[in-house]
Amino acid sequence: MLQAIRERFASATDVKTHRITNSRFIAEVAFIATLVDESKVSDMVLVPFAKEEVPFDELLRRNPNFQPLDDPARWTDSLLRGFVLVKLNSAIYKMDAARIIRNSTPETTVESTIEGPQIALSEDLMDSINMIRSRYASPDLLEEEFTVGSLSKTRVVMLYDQVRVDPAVLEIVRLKLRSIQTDVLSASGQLAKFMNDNRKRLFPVEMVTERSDRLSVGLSKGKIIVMMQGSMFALLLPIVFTDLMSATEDRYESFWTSLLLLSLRFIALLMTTTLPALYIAVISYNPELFRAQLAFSIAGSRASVPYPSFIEVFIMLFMIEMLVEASVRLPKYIGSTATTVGGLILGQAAQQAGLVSSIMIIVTSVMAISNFVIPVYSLSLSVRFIKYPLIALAIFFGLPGVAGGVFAGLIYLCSQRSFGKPYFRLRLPIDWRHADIGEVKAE
Amino acid sequence: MIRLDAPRRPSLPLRAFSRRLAALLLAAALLLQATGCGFIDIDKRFFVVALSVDKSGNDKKPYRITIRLSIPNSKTEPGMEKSQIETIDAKEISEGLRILKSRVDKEIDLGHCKVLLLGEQLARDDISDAVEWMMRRRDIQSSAFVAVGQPDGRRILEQMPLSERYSGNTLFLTFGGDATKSSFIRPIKLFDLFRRINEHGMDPYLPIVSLTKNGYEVDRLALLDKTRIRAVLGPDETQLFNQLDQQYINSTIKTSFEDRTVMLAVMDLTVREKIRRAGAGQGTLDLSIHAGGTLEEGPNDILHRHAAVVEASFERDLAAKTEALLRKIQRSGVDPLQFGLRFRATHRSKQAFEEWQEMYPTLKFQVRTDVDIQGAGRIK
Repeated sequence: MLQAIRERFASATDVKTHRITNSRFIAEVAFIATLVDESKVSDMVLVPFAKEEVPFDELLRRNPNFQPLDDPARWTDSLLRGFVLVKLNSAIYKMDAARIIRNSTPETTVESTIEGPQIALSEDLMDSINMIRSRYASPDLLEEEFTVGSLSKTRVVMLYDQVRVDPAVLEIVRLKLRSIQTDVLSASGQLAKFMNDNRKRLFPVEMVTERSDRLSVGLSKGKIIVMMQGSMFALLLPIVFTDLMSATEDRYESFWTSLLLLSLRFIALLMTTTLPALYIAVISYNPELFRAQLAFSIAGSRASVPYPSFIEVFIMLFMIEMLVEASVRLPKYIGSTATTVGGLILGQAAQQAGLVSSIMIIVTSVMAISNFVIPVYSLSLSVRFIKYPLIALAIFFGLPGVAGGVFAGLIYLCSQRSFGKPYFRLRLPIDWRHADIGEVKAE
Repeated sequence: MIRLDAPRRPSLPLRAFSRRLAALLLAAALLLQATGCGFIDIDKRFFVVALSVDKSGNDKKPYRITIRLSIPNSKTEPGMEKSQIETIDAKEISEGLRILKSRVDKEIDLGHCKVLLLGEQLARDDISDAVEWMMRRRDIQSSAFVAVGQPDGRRILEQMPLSERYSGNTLFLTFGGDATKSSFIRPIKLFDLFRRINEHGMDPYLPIVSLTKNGYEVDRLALLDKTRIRAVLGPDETQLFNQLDQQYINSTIKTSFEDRTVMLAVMDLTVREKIRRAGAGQGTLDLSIHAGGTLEEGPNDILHRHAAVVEASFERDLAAKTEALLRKIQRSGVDPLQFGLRFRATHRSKQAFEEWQEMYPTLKFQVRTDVDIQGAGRIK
């Protein structure tokens, strides 16, 4: 065995192959030192072998940690997953001794809540499944495993409640997961992208979340969770658009509070998409929409601006997008400096230099802040994009253009399906037992 | 069997791609043409806040158009507003406005023109052309206020009231009802004026704006037939008109008691009217008015000693004044209180309007009043 392994890993220096002997046996042990926990190897294999308290062949047979591995073709695979291979008397056993480096009990950072659970999923698949299983202690919770990535061989796990899940959706997800072709899979977002038929989709049709409470509620509603090794974000699907607009807190607070927050979010959504476009449309086509006083004061504050309104909008949007992007990418310590400097430029200097009007500053900041109100990051990214087509329409057609654009956007949303399920259904609950208009169902 | 979304399209061959690109460019070229003259930034527009149409006295160019343009200022303080007045005599109103455009450096925008003034001379002659133009002009909003300027519209526009925060604001506030709520002001909007001109059974009216030292005075009402002024109501009559037509509370009614004036602040007003046709050319209008309110001015002990007497006196005076007003309106041959429309609505006959026209000049009025003094207007 050792010979074969050394041949396969000819140039890998961290593959350890040992031939060990005690009074009765000669055993062969192989593992990749960088992947395994060596103390585990010594505790489980080397020390018992040397001490000979029980006969080693019996130990291999009785201890459930050791599993026979007969197929030589799977040796490489097992070694690369962090298994230790032990050969004794021509029988080969494998033992999981993988050492996985992960963030320890991480706190929710992306979707933080005030009073909800504070622990996020782990980057280790087993820990994550543990969290979900402990929140959803039901024997109906099933787990299916897939391997994605020809080189990375990433473990991907699909979890669902077998009673509540929609079999049609389940079949679609299975098919998608099996058909993914990539070399390396490194993040859940990438997985989501591979599972979409339409790579140019504007809005996310699955939720990327780190919250185990969101996932367990999803399970109870018949949704499917897809998780992968090495990412603390899970995919929840299928979803409707309003799922992306709801924060977990909506479930925990009183009716009126969450109603207020939810309506606030939808207003923010509308504002962040349409405000810049409306600014152009109203300033350049229909200034009579304002009250006279506001119109005159805007005209007064715009008098020093040399460019037409849409150039002004582009200048400000360019700056704010850069600022947002910079504060995401920069290390935390520099990030705050960048935003302060940028905020000063946007807030004061640009207006005093006569580059933009003071109303435009308000429009820009309201737009940016309303964008941050959207609770799911992937949706807020899509929304950041969607305002540009609206701006283009506003430049050429004014208010009717904006109205038409919003209408087209709604139609687009209605035409979307999330894994065969209607995506933009606002009112009715999704009940897979009664498939209805526009749904894909198993025949 | 599961149906998935459509398989991905194979990449387009180059030719189809270039064709698609050409179509896109063509569409873009067409769209860019379509922008036309629409795109003008707000700071490149000159907002007309008020416009007046007068008679010039010149037969070749009968109309004198005056516009008041607001000069935008980013800071608004009372008395700091700046305006520019432009006047032109022209044969047609629209032509005059186009010539005016050449005199200013920005695009003239009528979108904020909320006050339209008609000179008194014009209003006494014929307003129909001017109103027609205002109605047709697309950037004048139908919710603009229309009024008669006395002595003429131009002088009204030239007046710069002291307290004005931005150009034209005093007139907007006067008519708008946002700030001052006076029972002597009776605003009318362009769409209503147009409707009253065109509908059978109702006639237009216009408030009269005249000058004072620091501003304007709007407390009289001009009653028009479909084209010109037929009668002018004084301040008291205007208030009564408001009370009858709109049941305008927060107004007053007046009587005298033992040589002293007694005023009642009306808090509760109901006016009911009924038109009865007795035969060809004969009819009666029953008007019953119920007014309740508190005393505003009057002798001290009036309430607990003479309430019934004063109430009767109020009722008598109110009935007399109302009948006088109705007679005055009737004599002028106009119908701003829409009795005709009411008659048409409540009498099923194809000739209802003709019957009404026949009946109105000799219509009898029966006014019943009921005044209720609800309190002394002070805390005991």
